[in-house]
Amino acid sequence: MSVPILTVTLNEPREAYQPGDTLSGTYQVHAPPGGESQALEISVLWTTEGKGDEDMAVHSFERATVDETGQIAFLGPRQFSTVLPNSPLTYDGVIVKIRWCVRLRVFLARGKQLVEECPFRLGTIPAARAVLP
Amino acid sequence: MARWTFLLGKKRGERRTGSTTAGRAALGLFAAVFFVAGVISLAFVVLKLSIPEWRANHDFVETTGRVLETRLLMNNTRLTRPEIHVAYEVDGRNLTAWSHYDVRGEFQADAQRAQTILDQFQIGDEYHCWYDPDQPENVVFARGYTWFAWLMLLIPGSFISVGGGGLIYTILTWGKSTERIAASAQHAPGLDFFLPPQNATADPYPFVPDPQDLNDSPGTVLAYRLPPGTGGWSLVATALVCLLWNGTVAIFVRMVMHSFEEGAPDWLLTVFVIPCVLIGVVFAWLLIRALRIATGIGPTLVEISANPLVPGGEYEVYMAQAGRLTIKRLDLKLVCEETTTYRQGTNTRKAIRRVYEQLLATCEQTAAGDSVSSEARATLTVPLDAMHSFKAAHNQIGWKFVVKGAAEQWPDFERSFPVVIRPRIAREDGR
Repeated sequence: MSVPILTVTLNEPREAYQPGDTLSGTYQVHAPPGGESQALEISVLWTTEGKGDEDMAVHSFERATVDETGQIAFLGPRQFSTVLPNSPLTYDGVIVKIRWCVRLRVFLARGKQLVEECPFRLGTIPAARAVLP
Repeated sequence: MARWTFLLGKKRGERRTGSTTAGRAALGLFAAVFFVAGVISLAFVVLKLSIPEWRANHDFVETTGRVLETRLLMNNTRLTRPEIHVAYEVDGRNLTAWSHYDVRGEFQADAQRAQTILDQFQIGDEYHCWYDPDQPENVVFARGYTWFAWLMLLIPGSFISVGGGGLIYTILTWGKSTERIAASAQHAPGLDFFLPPQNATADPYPFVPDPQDLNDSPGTVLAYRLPPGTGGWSLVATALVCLLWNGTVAIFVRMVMHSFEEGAPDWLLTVFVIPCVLIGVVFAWLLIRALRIATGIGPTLVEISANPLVPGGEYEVYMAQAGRLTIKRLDLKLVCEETTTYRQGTNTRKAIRRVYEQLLATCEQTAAGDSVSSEARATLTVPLDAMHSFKAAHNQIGWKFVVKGAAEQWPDFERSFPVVIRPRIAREDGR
């Protein structure tokens, strides 16, 4: 079975965005004929990685579903745009890391999901190093 | 490249991935089992205990019964129940029935108690009794309420609450992505108990701790006197651990001493107890040390010219050590630590890593009563590329001032004073 291909691209790829900058881009679901995409969600969010349990928060969120006529209106290229918040900044710690990304999630029939992420940096904090006692 | 979600969890770097659908299904199944078990046990308790007891007190009809004979019935698990054969009149009809004394009619382990109940009845005498108008052969000699029949409702009640809550959560979040759930929770704080109720759009610095909590106390030298960290809780925890451990060990020590007094030493228990006693001595030493530091060494003061701090900013810091003691050395440092909590099996563990340390000031050799007191002022420049303070449910990046001291005839001590660093916003600097 062929599955949709998801793409997310940023309009202005940069090494790092700053708080207050506008992050914008394009996303698209390349669905094969007779595709079974039911809905999609586009989010700008951060998650933590590292030794601890994961925290996450969503900065912006949009959801699109098939319309009343059953047409999948979201399959064409679509734009997203958001003004980035002041915090938290991207951080490469020793046991705590904070990652920002644009996440595109597509819901297929029978509960299956596809996810595509486009990471980016918010702020320019250098990587941390452990201080030896 | 798109990726499929995985049914089984796996580690990607230090991050665990897995199917949220499978996780929620497991949670839903777990909650459903709890809920059904709660409903079944609630029905059992209500039908077998609560309603019969309530009916015996409200619906049963009072009459007089003549005792024909008594017996102590024993079941196959050797539990006993008092039974009284009684004759009484219901609507002009003469009936005889075996009464279980009270409406519960339970078998009990204490045969003596059951016999005591039977001893109250003399064969041929008449006593007040109450019969069920719906089943006249159901007759009791004792009424009243028991705490057991009503307290038992709490057990199925807690099962239903936990299971019902889990089922509602599963239904509300079924088929929804973690992003959608998080977005809902952020717009309606408190809706999702499993995510931090933080409204990111309303807060200018999301997930940066509020510095207002630290600015309650004005300083005498600089603008704010910082409150000390949570040293008191570690003292309480040390005291609790020490008391629990040594209390338990004391019981075993008493058993060992008793065996020696009896002339039959229990050498196996003695060998087991010796290391436990040594550990108890260490706990006691730690507690005494913590108590000495808390009560004997005077308060440490740290004041700062502004709070929150901003990377690149320059601030004045003041530290002072009160108390009549000879200070050998007192260091004031700015420190950043990463703190994280994680589940390991059924335990929740905490990990801390220090990722930044800057010595700001040092006091050396100030004796009690010296004209030179144990105090220092310093100028702090927060590094331009410093990470801001961050606090989420499981992960935290915290900044604090740490005063580390060494005093004559006292153990070394360390006290911390949290401070907040906000992110530096370029557009606010006009750059």
